[in-house]
Amino acid sequence: MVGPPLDDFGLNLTKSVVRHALRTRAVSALGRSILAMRRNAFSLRSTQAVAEFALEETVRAFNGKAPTAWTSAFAPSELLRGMGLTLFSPEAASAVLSAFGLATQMLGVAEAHGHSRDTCTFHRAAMGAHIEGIFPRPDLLVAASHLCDGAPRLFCSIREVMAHREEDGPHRKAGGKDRKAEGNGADSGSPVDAPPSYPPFYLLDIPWGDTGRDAVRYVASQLESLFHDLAQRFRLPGDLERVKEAIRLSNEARKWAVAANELKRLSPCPVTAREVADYVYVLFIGFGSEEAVRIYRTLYEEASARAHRSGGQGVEERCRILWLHLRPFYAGRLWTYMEETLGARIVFDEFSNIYWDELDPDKPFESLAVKALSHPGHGPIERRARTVLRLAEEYHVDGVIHFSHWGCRQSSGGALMIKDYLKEHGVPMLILDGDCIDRRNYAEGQAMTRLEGFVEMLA
Amino acid sequence: MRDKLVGWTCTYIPEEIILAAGLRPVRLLGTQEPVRVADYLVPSNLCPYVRSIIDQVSSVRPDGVFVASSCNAAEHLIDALRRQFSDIFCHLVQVPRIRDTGAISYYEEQIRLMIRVIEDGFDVKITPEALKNAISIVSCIKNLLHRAYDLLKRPEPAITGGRYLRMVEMAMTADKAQAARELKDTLGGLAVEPEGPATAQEDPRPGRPRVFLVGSLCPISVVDVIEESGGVVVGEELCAGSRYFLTDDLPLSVDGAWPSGDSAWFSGDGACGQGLKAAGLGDIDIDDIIRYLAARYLAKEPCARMQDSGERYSRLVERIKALNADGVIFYVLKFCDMYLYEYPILQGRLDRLGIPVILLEGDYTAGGIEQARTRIGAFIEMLDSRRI
Repeated sequence: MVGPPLDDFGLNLTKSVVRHALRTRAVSALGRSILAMRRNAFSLRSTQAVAEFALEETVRAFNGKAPTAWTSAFAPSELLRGMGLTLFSPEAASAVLSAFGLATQMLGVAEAHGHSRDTCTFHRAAMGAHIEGIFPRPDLLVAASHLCDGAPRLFCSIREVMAHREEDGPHRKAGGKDRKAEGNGADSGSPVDAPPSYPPFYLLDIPWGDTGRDAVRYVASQLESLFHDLAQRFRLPGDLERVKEAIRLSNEARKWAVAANELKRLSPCPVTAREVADYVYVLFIGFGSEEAVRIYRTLYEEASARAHRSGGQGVEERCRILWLHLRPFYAGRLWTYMEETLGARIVFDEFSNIYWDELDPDKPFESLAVKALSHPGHGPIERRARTVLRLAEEYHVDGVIHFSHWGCRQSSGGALMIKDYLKEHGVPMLILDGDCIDRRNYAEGQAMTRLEGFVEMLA
Repeated sequence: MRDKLVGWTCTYIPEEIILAAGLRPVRLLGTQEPVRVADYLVPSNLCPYVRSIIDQVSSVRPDGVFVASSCNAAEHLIDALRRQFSDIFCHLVQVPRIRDTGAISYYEEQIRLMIRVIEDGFDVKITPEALKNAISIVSCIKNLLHRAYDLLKRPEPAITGGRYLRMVEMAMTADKAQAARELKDTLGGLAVEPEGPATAQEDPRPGRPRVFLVGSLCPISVVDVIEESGGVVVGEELCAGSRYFLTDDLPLSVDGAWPSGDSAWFSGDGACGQGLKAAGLGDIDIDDIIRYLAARYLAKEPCARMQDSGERYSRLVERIKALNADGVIFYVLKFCDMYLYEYPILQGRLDRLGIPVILLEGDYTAGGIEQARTRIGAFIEMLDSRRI
């Protein structure tokens, strides 16, 4: 997921190499060395910083001293980081597997264990990797019910697999550690004691499209319960000051991200989505960290320098595109072809949108509740459609492309209605069917033909 | 003039509110014909039940629809309905996925909102008396269904799975008074003794493989095929089956707690109106009733969308074991993430117990039944051979 497709590094990585390498303490230094040697593969220093952040966070998840929380997309990273947890995003890790060329194997493993080929491949690849013991062992699982149904179900399955391993025999130390939660507490919202030997699963229930006072109170109370339960269960400091500090860091990162986004309005766009698409990793688990601040500040500085230096000379921008949802993470030519051959610049993508207001450090639970509830994709389709239209206007795009990831009900399910809405407002949209992780579900030639037609129509 | 029809989509929606407003609640079960209207609104790889509801609403034109926030597909359903049928009253009911006191409080507010929008939308007033009466009627219906389910669960079922599920469907879609009458007549016709053996058994062929059915929405034609293929359905956990009327074994009180010893609400004789008196709710005000409804609905047997630490599967497996099921048919609608993700979990647990399970996927149309017939037949045959 991070940086250019890893095939570009010329590394012949196999499943066992990845599994064993990531367990060693030397991997951090090794990875950093590889990234440094191949720094030319990154067009931005900030993108390299994302890769380094992802690598080090993953190594911490394998070897770190702090408990590792697996989190779903949009789980409140500020709260968990403020409590000193290490975060691991299985969805982002699936993207890395795809970039390594390992996703197909992992999907096959999950399918052999009964996981349907109609489910999201981010989740299915993660399940396969978990079964194979490639991923670090979670000490706890935290899923938010927004945006998708799949992640909470994935975590439930992960927990089940771990429970059966416990029953079947000696614990498999997939992550090279065997930390157990203290106590025998209950999951948030589910007053049932869990055996202490496999991780607790916390589901944050985020009402759909409700931003009212009751919804804020409901979500905030869940976050507060999570905070206190984790503090007790893992003997973490129950000190809100550290959470407040994480929120201040989140605000700082947000400020730089917004500033960098402002520059993307320029024509030609100084930084395209092709270069920053992997920042979705930071969006998922980075906010609340110092690394996120550094990454977004660097991105702003680089975009700003480019804007001043070139003045837009020498860049062909036949048309400007807004990209919705994610892109294929396996090696492919889709975006390169779009930008370099067709001259269609993806100036903005939906996952770069900083949709939330600044958080109030003095009201951490309430602020994070408001942030969760305000996601444009978690509510009536008009909410997302209006956001897309606003982005289309602000970033002066000529057209919108929705990449319909096969197993994504949340995003793809609304694509036709968004297309209709945009059509009513004179903005053309193309729906490209494909799969972000599984190259078996994606016909690049067909996608390119459709892209050509779309760009021809726009230009 | 016909009754005003108000559709609802999920068993977590308290239909009592619709009934108390003087409207006729109707469970929307979609159409099993190929869809036409839905194709313009949602992609083909979305829940076929949701897609079929869009077409059903287009043809039936109910006066209103309540959709629960059950899943991503249901959320797209409310969007599609609002977009396509601007003249039809549509409201989304936020159903929590957790069941603690915070969730009950939040759901209480959602029910309160439901009352407000229905009063505004239909220019009616829901009185405490009307709400209590509606609760009694729905409880009466559910109580009768509970008895029908008891017939199914017997060592030698006194009713076929197909007939039983048609009773549930009728109870969810017909006028409630008519439904109560028909259920009583049917149960009476079966000469049911609540605690004793059935005196009139529908199924004259004992010893057939016993099948437990799990899944989301399963067309009754699939159940017919199971029984035509030589299996006997002895229990189910389906969205249009027992999840409509089965509640947690723990009885509720108005403050949301679960006191012991008060199980009168669902163990009465099924006479409408008895439930309220038995539960001692005769004099409580509307706020208490709303809280009661919120707590009761969230205490239902949880479906796959609800937060679960594994107890749902433990309980499900216990139910399957208690009924001596020879095998389990797990029926999933295509693209139903909730159940597609659940299948490997249940499969793993059943494998450990040596209980065979088969996954059937369907698109909710009649067209796929014959394909399913072959697999069902082979499964039943395999179960039968294991019994020898």
